[in-house]
Amino acid sequence: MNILKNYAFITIVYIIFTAELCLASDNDPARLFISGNEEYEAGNYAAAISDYEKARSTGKASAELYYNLAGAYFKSGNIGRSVLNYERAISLAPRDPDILSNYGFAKSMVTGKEPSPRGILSWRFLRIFLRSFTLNEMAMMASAVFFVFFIALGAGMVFEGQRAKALAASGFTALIIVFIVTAVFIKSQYLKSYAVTVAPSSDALFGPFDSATKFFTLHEGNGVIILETKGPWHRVRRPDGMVGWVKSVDVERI
Amino acid sequence: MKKLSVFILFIFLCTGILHADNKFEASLELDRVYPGNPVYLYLSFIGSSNVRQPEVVPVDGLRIRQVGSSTQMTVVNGVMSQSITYSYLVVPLNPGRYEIGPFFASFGGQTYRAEPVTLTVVDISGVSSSSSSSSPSPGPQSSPPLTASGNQSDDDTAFYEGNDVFLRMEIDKTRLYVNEVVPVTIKLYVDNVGLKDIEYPVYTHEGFSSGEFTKPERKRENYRGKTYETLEFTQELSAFKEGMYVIGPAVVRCKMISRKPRTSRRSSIFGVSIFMDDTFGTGYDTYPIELRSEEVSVEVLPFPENGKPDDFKGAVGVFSFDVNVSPSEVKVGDPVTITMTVSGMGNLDTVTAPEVSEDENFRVYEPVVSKKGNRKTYEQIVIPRTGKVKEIPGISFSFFNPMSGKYEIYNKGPFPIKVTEAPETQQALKMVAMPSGEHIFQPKEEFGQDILHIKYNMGRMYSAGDLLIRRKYFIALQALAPLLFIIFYVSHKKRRRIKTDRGYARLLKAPRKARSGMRKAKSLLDRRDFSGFYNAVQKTLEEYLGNKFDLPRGSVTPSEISAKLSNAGCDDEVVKKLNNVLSMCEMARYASSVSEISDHNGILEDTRSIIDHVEKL
Repeated sequence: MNILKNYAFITIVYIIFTAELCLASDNDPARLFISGNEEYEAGNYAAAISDYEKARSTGKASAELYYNLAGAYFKSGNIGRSVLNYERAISLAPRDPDILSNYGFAKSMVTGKEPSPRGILSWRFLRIFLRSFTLNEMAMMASAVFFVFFIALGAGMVFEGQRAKALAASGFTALIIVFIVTAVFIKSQYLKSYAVTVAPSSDALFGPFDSATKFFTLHEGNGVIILETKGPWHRVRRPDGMVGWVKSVDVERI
Repeated sequence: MKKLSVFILFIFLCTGILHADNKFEASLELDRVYPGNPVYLYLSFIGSSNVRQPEVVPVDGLRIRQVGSSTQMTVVNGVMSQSITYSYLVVPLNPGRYEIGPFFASFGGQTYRAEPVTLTVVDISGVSSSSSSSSPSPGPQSSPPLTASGNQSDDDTAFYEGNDVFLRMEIDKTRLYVNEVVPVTIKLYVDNVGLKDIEYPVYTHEGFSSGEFTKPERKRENYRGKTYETLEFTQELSAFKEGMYVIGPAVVRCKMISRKPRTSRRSSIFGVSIFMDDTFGTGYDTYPIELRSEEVSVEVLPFPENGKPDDFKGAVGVFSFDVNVSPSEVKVGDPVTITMTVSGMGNLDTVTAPEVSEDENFRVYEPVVSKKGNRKTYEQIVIPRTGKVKEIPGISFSFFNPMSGKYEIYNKGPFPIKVTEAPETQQALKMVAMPSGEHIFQPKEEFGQDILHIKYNMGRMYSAGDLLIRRKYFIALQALAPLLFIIFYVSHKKRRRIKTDRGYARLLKAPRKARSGMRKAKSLLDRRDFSGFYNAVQKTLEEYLGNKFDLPRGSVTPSEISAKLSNAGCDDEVVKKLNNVLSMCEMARYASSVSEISDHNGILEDTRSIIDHVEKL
């Protein structure tokens, strides 16, 4: 009887364990990633996209996953979603040369000339800084400089003969903190509201209704900032400041 | 602070100096010209040389292009000033009155305006004599000339017709071929008349392209039995289309000098240079005049069709043609330079590179052209593709000789060369340098374009919205730095005070010393060393109260302490207790036997209680 009980117990445990494994493998991002790669290399880009998107739908993603997904979209001719996913990859790994190279190539396929940015983003140094670091990296930088700021203040108190230098160092670090915090703010807003046009083309109208006059046209791959949403419409702003209403389905946030 | 103030003052002064008298001006070299005559427009900004080139709005009827800029620094009365001048060349195309500008320049956040300038372009055909020319008068006309519209001209320039000063145009040939170069000489004849500010001739030459005027030459010439001083202007023309054309008339503007009567005759104008600038008042008057030559009709003939070579491309002149090929032994892929030289008299601008065609044996590159004097050289690179190549094909050059009226052809080559196959290790692209060192090029390599391949490592996974700035521990960590700083600040301040404020330092150490004293007194009491005990108690109290109230050692007396305690608001009971303890300690010092004092523990407790009370003050 005892032996039977033991066997039953072992069997039940085995079934539960195996069932869990099976369930996990269907949604396991790593498995889907590998499967997607196999489909990609076999030239089945649609299947590869499906696997990559499933991996992404688990709520977790990596720069490499977005990179491969973007590549699959590119190969299937969907430039808009390719650019979108390269943007996502860049937000996680902004200095990866492969991602940047492919992104540049995909952007070169976008119809029309990218409008030049205006306002604070016309400052090239800020744009480069925003592009070169993730939000987390910028937050850590700001934190480190914040500590340095107080260290400099403390040093000024302790070494009275070097007080002027310590104050200058504190002032300088304070400026850097302000700059980085501003960049963090801008980038977090950007990540929240930046979107890429995924429709082949999308007319930006003066109002959120179909009969409104067309203002300008967005082509797939063009980036915009979503300002507000009203029903099935988004009010968007181009990098050069032009604002119009587009159908929500035509753009997708990164 | 003083240094900072001086620095700021210095900056303001410099700014004042630099910003002093900023001006922006526009000016024309001449304000009255003929069509086709270029004139300079100058836009000058005074006050700085760091000003961007101002925009010049195009004007219909004028061709304007920027040709250069110059900067200048001046020091006047110790004040330094910089300026920058942008030069533009304005070529008027049609007669009329043109307003150019206004002009705007930005500097230092401000916009400066220069007033527009006006250019008057005079129609040459509007200039006419105001009287018959059958007997030309020796002097300027008494009334100003009329323009074509019948109105008086805006300035006082008079058309001059006379035997003492006149203009002639000479052309070597009046029948010439298309592309043939013909020199045109415009001669200014002067007899015993002073002239100055002589301008270059202006004349129409429709159907012809023109070169630059050569430097004017002064000569003497006998014309119609009279000797004149002449000034010759020579320019080459070449016709680009067949037909009948009229060249000229040529017009020269200058100023005639009228001298006061002299006692001595001058037989030559060299006593007064025809290029003299007599602005310093030697008793002369000047009159602006215009001199006009006759027109010349020219017939331009087309190239004869008879005998025209297939490779004729319009070269006209009398030329020689030479070809040199080097090196004569090469490997496959190595360059061979073909140098073709055309020299002689004629229109070298119409000479184009003789053709060397690319085929399966040769890769051919664009020739490099150089021209010097009457020689034009083409250096062309060819690269043999295979080792089977034995020669470079012959090259021909054909041109039309206007003297003979016939086509001439030079055939050179073929040029034998020896081409060997290169070893595999050397079959790489080679850098090619032109003999003149002016061009370096290599065969263009084509690269494919596509995205890079996928990545195989999935990398680190992140959850959506996984941001450091949203994590509580990260936010809490940021509070650590200011907190540590505050702690450090407070302790630093305390340490500084302890170092500098003796009273404060004594106050801080009073309780610790009191506790130590009490422990010592207790241990003495336990050992029944009553004498030592009372000494320790007295010492502890005196030291404690001395530290507490920052009293010098010698002045820690019961009366002093009582007064301090009372002033600090201490209870009378405590003061009484203190006095009692101190008197007991005094008594113990002088008593023969301290055993008479019965309540030692009570003394100890009283002492503790006194210290506790005083600590609370």
